[in-house]
Amino acid sequence: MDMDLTLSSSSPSDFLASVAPGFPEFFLLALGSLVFLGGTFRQDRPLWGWISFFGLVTALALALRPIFHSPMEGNAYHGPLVYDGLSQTLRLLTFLCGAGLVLMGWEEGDSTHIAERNGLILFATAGASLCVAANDLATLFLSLELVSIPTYLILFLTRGDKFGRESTLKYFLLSIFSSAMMLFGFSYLYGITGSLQIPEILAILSQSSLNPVPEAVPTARLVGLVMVVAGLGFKVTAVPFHFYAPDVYQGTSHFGASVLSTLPKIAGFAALARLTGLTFETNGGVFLPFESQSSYLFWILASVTMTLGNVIALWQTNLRRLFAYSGIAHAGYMLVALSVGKEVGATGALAALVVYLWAYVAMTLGVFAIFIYLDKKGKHVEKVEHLNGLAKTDPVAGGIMVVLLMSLIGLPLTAGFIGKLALVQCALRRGLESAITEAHPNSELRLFFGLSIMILVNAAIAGWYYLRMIGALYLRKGKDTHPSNRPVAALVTGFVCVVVTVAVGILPGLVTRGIGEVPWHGIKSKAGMANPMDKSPMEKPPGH
Amino acid sequence: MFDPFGLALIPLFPALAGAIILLFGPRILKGQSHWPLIAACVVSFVLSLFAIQSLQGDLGIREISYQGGHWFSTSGPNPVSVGWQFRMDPISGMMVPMVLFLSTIIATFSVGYMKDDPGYSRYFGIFALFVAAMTLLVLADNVLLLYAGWEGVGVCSFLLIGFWFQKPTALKAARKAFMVTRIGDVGLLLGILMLWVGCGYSLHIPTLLVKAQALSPEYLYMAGFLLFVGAMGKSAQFPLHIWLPDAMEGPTPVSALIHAATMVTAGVYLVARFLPFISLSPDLLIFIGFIGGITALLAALIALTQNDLKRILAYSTISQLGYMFMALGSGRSDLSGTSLVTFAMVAAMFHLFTHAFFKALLFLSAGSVMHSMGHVVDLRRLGGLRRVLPLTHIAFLSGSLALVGLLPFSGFWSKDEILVALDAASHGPNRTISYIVLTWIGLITAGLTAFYTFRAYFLVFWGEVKIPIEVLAHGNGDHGHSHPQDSYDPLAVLSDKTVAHESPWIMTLPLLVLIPFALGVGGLFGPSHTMFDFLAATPGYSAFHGDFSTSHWVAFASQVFGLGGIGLAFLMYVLHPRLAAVTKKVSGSVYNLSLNRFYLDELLTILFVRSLQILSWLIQALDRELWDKLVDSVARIPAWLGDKFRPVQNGLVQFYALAMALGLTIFLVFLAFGDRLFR
Repeated sequence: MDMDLTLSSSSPSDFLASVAPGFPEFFLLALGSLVFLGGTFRQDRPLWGWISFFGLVTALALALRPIFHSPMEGNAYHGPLVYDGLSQTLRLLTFLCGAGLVLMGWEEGDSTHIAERNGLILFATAGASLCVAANDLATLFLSLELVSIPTYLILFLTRGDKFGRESTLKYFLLSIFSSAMMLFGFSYLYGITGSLQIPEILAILSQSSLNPVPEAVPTARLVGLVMVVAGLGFKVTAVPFHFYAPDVYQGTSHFGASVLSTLPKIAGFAALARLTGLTFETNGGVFLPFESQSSYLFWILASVTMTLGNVIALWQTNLRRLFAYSGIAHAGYMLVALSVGKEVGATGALAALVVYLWAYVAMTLGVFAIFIYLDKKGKHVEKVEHLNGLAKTDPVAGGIMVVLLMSLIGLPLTAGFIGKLALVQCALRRGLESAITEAHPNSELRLFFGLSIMILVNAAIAGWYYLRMIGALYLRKGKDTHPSNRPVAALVTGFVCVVVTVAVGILPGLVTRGIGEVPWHGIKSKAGMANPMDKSPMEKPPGH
Repeated sequence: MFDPFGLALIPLFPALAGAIILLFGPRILKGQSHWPLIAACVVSFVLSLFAIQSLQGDLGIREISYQGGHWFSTSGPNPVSVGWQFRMDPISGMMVPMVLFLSTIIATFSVGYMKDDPGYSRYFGIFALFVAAMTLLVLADNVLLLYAGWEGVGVCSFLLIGFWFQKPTALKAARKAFMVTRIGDVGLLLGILMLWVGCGYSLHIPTLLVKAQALSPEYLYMAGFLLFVGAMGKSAQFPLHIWLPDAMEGPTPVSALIHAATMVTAGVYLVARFLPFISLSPDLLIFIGFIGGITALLAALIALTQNDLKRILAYSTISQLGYMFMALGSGRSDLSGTSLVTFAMVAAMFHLFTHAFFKALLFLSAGSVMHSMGHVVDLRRLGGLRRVLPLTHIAFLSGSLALVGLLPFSGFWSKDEILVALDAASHGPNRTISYIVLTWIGLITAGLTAFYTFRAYFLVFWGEVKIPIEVLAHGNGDHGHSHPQDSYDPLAVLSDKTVAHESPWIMTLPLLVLIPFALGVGGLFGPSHTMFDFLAATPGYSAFHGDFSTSHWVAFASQVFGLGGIGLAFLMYVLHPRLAAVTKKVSGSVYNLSLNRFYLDELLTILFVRSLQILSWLIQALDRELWDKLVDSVARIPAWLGDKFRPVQNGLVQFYALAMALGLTIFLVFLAFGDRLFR
């Protein structure tokens, strides 16, 4: 088997047909190149801003009303890009996020490289959007690099002083390191299965877990998994691959931090979901590409990540550093979905992950938008106390901030609440259902009940530092009055984020179209069997 | 034939009126807020008259029941389904028109009494809700609806006692009433639950009455006792009577309706309703009888020395309620030959009926006095008012005569029946002495009643004219009398008759309407056995055929005691006023005991309130010093943990890469060997 197998297994016209639904992304790439070129002639904020913004809006419209449809038949491979439910909802999120970034940066930073910066946002957005649809390892790697490389440049462009340079370099070095680990893991997967196509890899691995083949395969496959998780764990800031985040966030600007905390995470979680088989259609059959080990790996990652992120966040006074740790904690919550995975009885993990990802991106982007809105030359908004009395001096920004913080805490009617609820539901369900069907019921029950309790405890811990910020907004007295020349575009971004947060909080089904339902209803009882609506396979042989 | 649906309408109209008044009163209706209430009361009253009309007919219909819509239900091994079930039998058929008639009268009176009060619409709104809850309570055919009505009247009572919430005493009284009756309510709820569990998870009252007969005596005793505890709270029986005198802080018409005529009799109604199975437990019966007896005697003794007109009436109410419980206590079913259950129920309910009219009249007269006298109720500061307030005087006198139970008047007929019941019960095979004691308590109480009632009457309406100075302060400025502010002396008394005047017609008219009822309902229904035949036909009560010609002596004795009491009061407060002072000196500590209400409030305060305060202090200290600290230290763990991990973030990129590699290694090792760790 050689590399040809991946890309030329079908005729050129089939290939084009499979790539065609990625038209919005290619459009963004072309537009980004144009903006880049144009920047050598003219650095004009409104011009490039409007072009980039409308480019993203066009891409969004094209994604909502696709011209080309990708052929979809179960797990069959039709090309490097697959447009299933996951890619559909996440590419919308990505385009929205890109548009938000362009709006946020409307008046932010210096204007010398504004064209390049907007072009880079277009590139990174297109990269993240391709990544959520990537269906083979080569495309996945390329699209991830298409996110990373523009990000390095954005980090450098947005803050050029020595702190900015330090953080850019840190991110660059560690990102390369993580890419290397990921590639190494890809090579293992390719080595075992002889394929670069993700559905085929998963299918082969799943079958080999039923019919044990050479001794080395299980171990090799796990090495591959761990390597890939390490590489992608860097993107999603999972402990212990998170170290860059606090330093880099603090060292860069609000804008740089908002790029870092959104696009790579969308890409990383989408890739993790696809590689661990959350999108794989099992039709009720047994599906275990990495046995239960992947569950346990993500269990540890999730619990350590959320706990460490939250407890260290308690000590932070710098806003971006605080949100770096907060982002780590939220990544920990989302890893729970991957831990629940697609094992017996686990339904809706993908939906829960998507809901939480929407929630996370909306909340984080909104908060950074407000920071950018408040920031001004010579008097930056860097520390928690800089937010003092905001609700009085600028009620609109304060109100937006409060809603976003409530969502970050996880109060009802916000996306943050519904996301956490979905994750807890999935974890509980996995524990209970496996208690009915599995050979080792109690350990599973304990593990996943423990995980859901850990989410709740962490939510409580996180409440402290978010509430401290709400307290600063409302109870402390601020010094300055409302300045007149704040960037309205950033405020609009924050408001749109609030709208998205509340909309997803009330109607989570809006963003989970085509990827299954979160099991909102509880489990009747141990004796009462599972709900007949569930597609969970009950015929799993004991003691696999 | 009466459409049973009308039963549901009876509570519905006042409830709607309440909603309308509370919603639109403050802004739109304002001074006209009483109209929805009066209209609803009249309509419901007419409806209830139609209802009893068909109960009385010769068709043999003794109950009308309406199985209304579904309210809620639960699933499970013992499903509960509660609907809006109403039923009218003779017992409720007697109560409902009475409640609605008095509500109409008293609402009309209130129009004058509450005039210009800032909370005018709030008053009538809560009043309407009270009427709705009271009729619901009486008409309920399942215990849950009954409980809903029970709590509803409790809340309205609370709100109306604390109506003038700017007065600290009113607030305190409202809280006290609520807390004390709450003790009773808990008992009622437990009793209901015991019945519910014991009688096959039914809530339907007739079903309960039938099924409860099969319960074991201990279970029966306990369930009945708990129900009676509920009745004790609501009907102010010893030792839970302490809330009722304080409840006089509310507006006087409210005292007349809620705290004399209707709500406080809910306990009597409850026990009468469940008497067929309570009577199966003779121990419980004698307990009820003695609680009633103690209450009747104690309250009468306390009333002897009180100087607050409304409080005297409050204690009188407590005493009369005690009478009714004494009657219920005589409902023995273990007599040879005959069962007294039906007779006892009739006696209690009949007294409840007559009492409602004359006590309402007395309270309204007192209200009229207060209204004219600047809200002064101290007997020592009033006098000779029969010339100032002639109509009120006649009303109060009529009420007093009925209450005392002189021969042709209402009180005589109902009280006589109670005494006859008690006397008959003493002819049983056992417990003869207990019932003889109760009979004599009844007689003595009758004498005391006569004395304290006429003491109040003589002090207020006879002797030289005394008019308190507050008359000038309370809204009588329209007479053109101005009085310099600095000459106000709280104890000063005016002798100027022209300052004080009779209450307006809107208040005297209800009094006049009520007088014939107060005096005559007893004589109308008593000797002709109309009431007896009506009530005794209640389904669930055995037919009664008894002859009590031997008991005529009690009627004679009660007349002797009554006349003696009146005569003594006339002697002490009219003929020789000095005699009262002498008696006061001679009796000394006994007098003080009565004046201070036997120190029962203080005793209960020490026993319950103080001990609870100590307990709450202890719990609070424990909470603050132990649990709070414990929780705080748990809350410190995350921060501590974070602090320990912070140094790892040292800013060195090579260390970060190393950490990532190390993490990778750990995961690899773990996945290779970790299988055993998890399973």
